[in-house]
Amino acid sequence: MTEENDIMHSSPEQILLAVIENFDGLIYSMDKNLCLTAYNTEFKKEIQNIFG
Amino acid sequence: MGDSVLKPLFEKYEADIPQWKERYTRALHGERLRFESKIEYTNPDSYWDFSFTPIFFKEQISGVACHVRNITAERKKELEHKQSQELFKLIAENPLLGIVWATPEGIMINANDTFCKILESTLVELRDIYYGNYTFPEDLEKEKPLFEKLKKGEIENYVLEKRYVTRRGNVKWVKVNLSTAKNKENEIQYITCVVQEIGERKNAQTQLLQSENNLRAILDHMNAACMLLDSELRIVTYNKPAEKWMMRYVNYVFSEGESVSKFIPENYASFAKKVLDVAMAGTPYRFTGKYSLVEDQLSYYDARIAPVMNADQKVLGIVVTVEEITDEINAQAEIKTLNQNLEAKVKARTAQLETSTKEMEAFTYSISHDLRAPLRNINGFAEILMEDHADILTSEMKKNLSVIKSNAIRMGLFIDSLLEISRSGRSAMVVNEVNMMNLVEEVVEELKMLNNNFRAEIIIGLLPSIKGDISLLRQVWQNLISNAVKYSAQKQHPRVEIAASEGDGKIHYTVKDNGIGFDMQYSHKLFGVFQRLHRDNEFEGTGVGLAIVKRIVQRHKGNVGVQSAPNAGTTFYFSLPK
Repeated sequence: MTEENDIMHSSPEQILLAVIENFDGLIYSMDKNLCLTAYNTEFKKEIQNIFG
Repeated sequence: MGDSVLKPLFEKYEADIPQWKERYTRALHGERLRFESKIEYTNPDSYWDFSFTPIFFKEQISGVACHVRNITAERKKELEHKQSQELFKLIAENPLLGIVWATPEGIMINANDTFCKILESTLVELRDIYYGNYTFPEDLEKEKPLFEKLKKGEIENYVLEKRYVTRRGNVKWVKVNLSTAKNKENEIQYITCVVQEIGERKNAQTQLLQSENNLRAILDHMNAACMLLDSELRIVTYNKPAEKWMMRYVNYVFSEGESVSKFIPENYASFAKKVLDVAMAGTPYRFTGKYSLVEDQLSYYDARIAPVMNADQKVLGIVVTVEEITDEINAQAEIKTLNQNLEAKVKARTAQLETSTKEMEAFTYSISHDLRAPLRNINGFAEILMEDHADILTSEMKKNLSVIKSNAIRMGLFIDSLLEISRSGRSAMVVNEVNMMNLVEEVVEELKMLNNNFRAEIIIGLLPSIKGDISLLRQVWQNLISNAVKYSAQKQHPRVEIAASEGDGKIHYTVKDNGIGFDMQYSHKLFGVFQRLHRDNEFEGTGVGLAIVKRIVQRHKGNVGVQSAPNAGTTFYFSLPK
């Protein structure tokens, strides 16, 4: 399967995750209670850096 | 996902929470936020770009999407760029350095204000102008080959001191530093020239050169050989006489930088070392030396060695001056011999003179003394004739006898005066402190007692005491005061003022009267023996009083003088050393 076909068969959530992974920088979202709802790997790495 | 990730973060940085909560809350209320911030818990020097966007779900805000980007590298680049721009601005606006950018052909592209000021032009006037147009023609010829090499890339840069001709026609000395700016392909893009005005330095250099030339001229025209040595005793410089000196004594002229120790003979080395050490320690040294180049013929020289110090009194070297003084030494020896001969001659002559004077004085005394007896006889016999033979003498005879008698008396007075003069010169001086005030008062009192017609007003000022022979000084005052009284006696209010003043290491005593005075053209006669300015029938006297005054004052190593005018009084003065 080509990459294009992969996208065609992906769910919107998967597509969104793929997009945010390809963004430069940290991406995350929070709900109204400021609880994390989604984040990319860069964000995770940064948080891990902070806490060792 | 829950808050499992953010919770520890919030706990760790509790202090920062309010501001973050505030921003999230604003986003949850529909505001899109974008801001930059440092996040200290990552890296204190890191910059981050934050973007908070509200998430809409079914037209309701359900949360906030955050995009955080590390922009530290971008910020650093921006900062570097800014700093580079500021530095460039600083250079371009430098008030001391002119900066020019030109094409590889030397056509000006741009320049800073300082450069425009140096050339007394505006940027508009200078732009697109070839550098040769404002370079002094002679200097352009020197610069062209260098510029060509720079243009061809044979050299990276060059520095040159040259002259610019400004728009107003002024000539200015500048130092230019040209270099090339190349692109990645190593092609010259443009030429940069940094220009510094050096007019003052050039003037100072010219003045220094002139000053050096002046000093060199002075040095070369001195009689003395002069040599400057450094602290290692190497020759720094020397003048032409020094060159001659070296040729004469070592038949070799030292070059600058050579050690002077080669010049010093072995038997002289320890003395020379001592002298040079003294000078190097900061003390000048001078001595007279002798040598013999020709057998049995001595020559002499005067040598001076002086330290050369800097402003901190540190000895940097020494100056040696050597002057041939053979002629002077020989002349001095000759003068010494001549002086000795002269002294002997003077002594012999003085002895002769003293003998003659003594003989003369003895003769005068003897003659004066011997003349008194015959005079007494003449006078006595004339009196006998007048008394014993008065009855047979005619009136004519009596008159003649009277004349004989008065002349004999007068001659007696002359002889007395001669004896007095003789005594004033012969008597031994007894020098003591003399109270002139008391002395003058005594003299005045004596004169008053002796002269029944004394009516002059005598004013005595303050008279300082002096060392001298009191009996001789008494004679001086007696003669001067009695003269003053005598020559002012005919005045209605005769007045004599006696005063003194000090100056030039002497005390000047004056006796001033308001008498008849005299014409100063005869003043030279006044102090001579038997010299009188008035007839005997006008004023009594033998004409020796002032001669005695002069003789006594001179014996006290003083001097006498007079100031007078007819009918305007006379002032006699005498000055005695303190």
